Amino acid sequence: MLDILPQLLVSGLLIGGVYGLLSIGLTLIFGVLRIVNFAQGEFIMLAMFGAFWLYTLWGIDPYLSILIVTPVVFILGLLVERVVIKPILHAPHAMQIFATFGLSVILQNIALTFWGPDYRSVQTGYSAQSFVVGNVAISASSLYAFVVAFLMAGVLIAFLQFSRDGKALRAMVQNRYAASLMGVNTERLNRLAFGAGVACAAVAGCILTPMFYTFPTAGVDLIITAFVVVVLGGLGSVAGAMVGGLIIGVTQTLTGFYVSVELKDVIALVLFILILLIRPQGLFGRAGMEEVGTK
Amino acid sequence: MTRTTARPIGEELLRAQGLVCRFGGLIAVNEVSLSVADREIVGLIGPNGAGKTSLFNILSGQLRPNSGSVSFAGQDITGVSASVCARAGLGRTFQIVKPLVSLTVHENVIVGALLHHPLAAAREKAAEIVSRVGMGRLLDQQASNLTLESRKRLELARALSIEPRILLLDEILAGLNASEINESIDLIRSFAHEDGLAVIMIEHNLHAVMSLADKVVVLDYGRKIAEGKPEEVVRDPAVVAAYLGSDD
Amino acid sequence: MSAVFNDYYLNIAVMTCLWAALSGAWNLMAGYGGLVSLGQSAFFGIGAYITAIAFTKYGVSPWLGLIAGIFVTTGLAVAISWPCFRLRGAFFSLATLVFPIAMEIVANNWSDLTRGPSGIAIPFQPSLSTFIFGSRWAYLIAAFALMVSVYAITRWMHRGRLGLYLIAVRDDEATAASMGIKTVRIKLIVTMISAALTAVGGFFYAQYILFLDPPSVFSINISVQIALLSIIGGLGTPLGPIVGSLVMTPLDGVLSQFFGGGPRLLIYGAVLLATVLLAPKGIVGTLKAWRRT
Repeated sequence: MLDILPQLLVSGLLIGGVYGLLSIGLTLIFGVLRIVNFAQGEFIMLAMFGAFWLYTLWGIDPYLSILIVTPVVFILGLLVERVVIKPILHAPHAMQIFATFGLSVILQNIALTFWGPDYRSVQTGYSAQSFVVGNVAISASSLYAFVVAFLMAGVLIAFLQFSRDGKALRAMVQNRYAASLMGVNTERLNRLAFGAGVACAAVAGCILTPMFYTFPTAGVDLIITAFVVVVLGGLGSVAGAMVGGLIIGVTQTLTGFYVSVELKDVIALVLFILILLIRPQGLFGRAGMEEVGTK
Repeated sequence: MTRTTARPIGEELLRAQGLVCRFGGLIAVNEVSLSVADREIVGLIGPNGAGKTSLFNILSGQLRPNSGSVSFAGQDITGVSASVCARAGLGRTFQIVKPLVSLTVHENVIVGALLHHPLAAAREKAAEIVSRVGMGRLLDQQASNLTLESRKRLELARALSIEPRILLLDEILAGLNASEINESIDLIRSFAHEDGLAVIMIEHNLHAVMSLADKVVVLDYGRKIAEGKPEEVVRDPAVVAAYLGSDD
Repeated sequence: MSAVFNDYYLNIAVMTCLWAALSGAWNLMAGYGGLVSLGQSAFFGIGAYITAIAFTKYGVSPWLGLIAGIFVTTGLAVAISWPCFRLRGAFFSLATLVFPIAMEIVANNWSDLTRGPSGIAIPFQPSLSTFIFGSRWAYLIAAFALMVSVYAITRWMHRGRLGLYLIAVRDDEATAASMGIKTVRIKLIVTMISAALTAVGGFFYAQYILFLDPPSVFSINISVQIALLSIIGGLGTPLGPIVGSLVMTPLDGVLSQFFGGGPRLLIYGAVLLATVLLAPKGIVGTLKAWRRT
């Protein structure tokens, strides 16, 4: 029983890295705009379809299509921020929720209408490949995904830490009002943060494509996991999202093997309730963050 | 602006003992003790950042102290929640006034009156309180449409609506003009004298404090540095030193 | 005049009333209390399943199943929403999304009880004690009664003690607490009422459609529909859900003749977004605002 543990840990960590990447966008958008982007899963799904079509029609590898899909989704994000998000930034919570929720319904059903409900998959050369280290088999696509996820997270964290805009964004996460008093152009940065947030979703979508099925409601399950990761890691914390992702990934694989397969799907939900009860601000969040409204 | 002649100050109502409150490395409230009696008006003054609002937050249940105790009408209410404090008889206004924007002025006050009355009686009581604070003609106005002065009066009306035994007023006079301030001073005085309420007021307006307070407590950097009659405290060298360099 | 008795139109009328009732139950929590639950379908599905299971598996009258359903959903509502109350705004909503998903997984896997993915078909045994009727008119009367009950409860709450307390908690929880309101208790009360009424809707659905399976009763689309109707009609007003349902349900009937699932939901999503951006007060709310000026 125990000798399979290293295999489980590795698989869990690998998928956890991807979960982290899924969640970074969500936590960034929330930290800066104080809006939960219910459509985050749909941006991932759109990217998956983008990667799928680029591969199916023109044979472009999903990892390469990151270079094409991400800018497109980024620009889409800027547009969405302008049209949907900006008008509701100071609206009552219910309206904010339904703005992005409505968007998510729209995007899901655009995909459904144009591409149908069928599950698509992308089988690249390395989809079935795996490396064997000791008695652990590492699937190639999981490994690549993990590497890209951490690279992407690293780039983002570096941007937030060292660039001028990045520092302004971090200031906004800590205290919007103070940041605006310091001359930070919150309007422009809101747009940037949203665009960056969905761009992260796009990268995640592309690297998920060789690993999972692509279908219009793929975003729905992913956003639940992303949300649990964000709450675990701490709202607004990018590093927290990565750590949270790893934890969830490992917990899932361990549960799936040692407890039961059905419970694997439910474990994230159980963890979620436990976090809320024990430490609602998550690992890296500041106490009270989860109670933050947009005021 | 005459001081009132002595009138009977009642028994001790609120006693805070050795209150300490820390935020990380910062000590906001440092071993503060305070007592207020029925019908007594206490002025709480001190430079900005002295810990006055934090002290209020502890007294009215928004904040839990790290150590120390608060007793009210003989009962220990240390660390108890805000709604329990309110139900025990502590009414307070907030520095940043936040009326319930979806409701009218009347409804804002009814919410508090419902604590001790059924709906029909609460409506009447609320209307009385609203006209008492001088907002009678704004009774059915949406709270979101009020001027700052009206919002402050509404804040006061709301604090009164729960029929408190003590009123904690946090800079209720800030932002008002001279005649508004004088009206408010008379109003506050009437609460203590006519209704028998105890009052603690955080104020930067020393003229108002001098005219209203029976006793003044001075905080600086979280510590109590003086306590006594207004005329005495204002002349206390420690108090003068604390205010030197500030813009008051 | 014979068109009025047409079965098709009767069905639309029944569904209009049912959706108005379900949306009205949600409106209590979300419109008045500011607790935007996206997981109402959990209560709906449980109400439906308990009714169906009680009847088909244990031969117990659906009315008893209804009572059991109300107890279970109310208890569940307390258990699951209480830890979520410390989440504000959108995070509360995201948390509520989780429960229908969990319920659907349970329903799919606990096959002994729920017959899993194949669902439960309820035998057509018309009688008052089984709440199954041959004539749609009987269902229409029942659905109408349910809708009116929800409306009456909302009206009673609207600007009554509970309604004012809810609005206070919604507008500013700290202020509400400082006025002596037991904020958690208020939230629990409205959640319980909302859950119970939604479960009643589930009971009705089971005995009307006579078939249910996990996706049909736990689907997120139910939660979307419920929210959409109140928002279009007017969130936080007693008539809002009814107006919203009167507008959207017949429209849905018409649209479903021409469009399949995808395009139809696309239209609803667009309508939802447009309403939120352009007319957030909904029909009733906007009319009220016009009348005030």
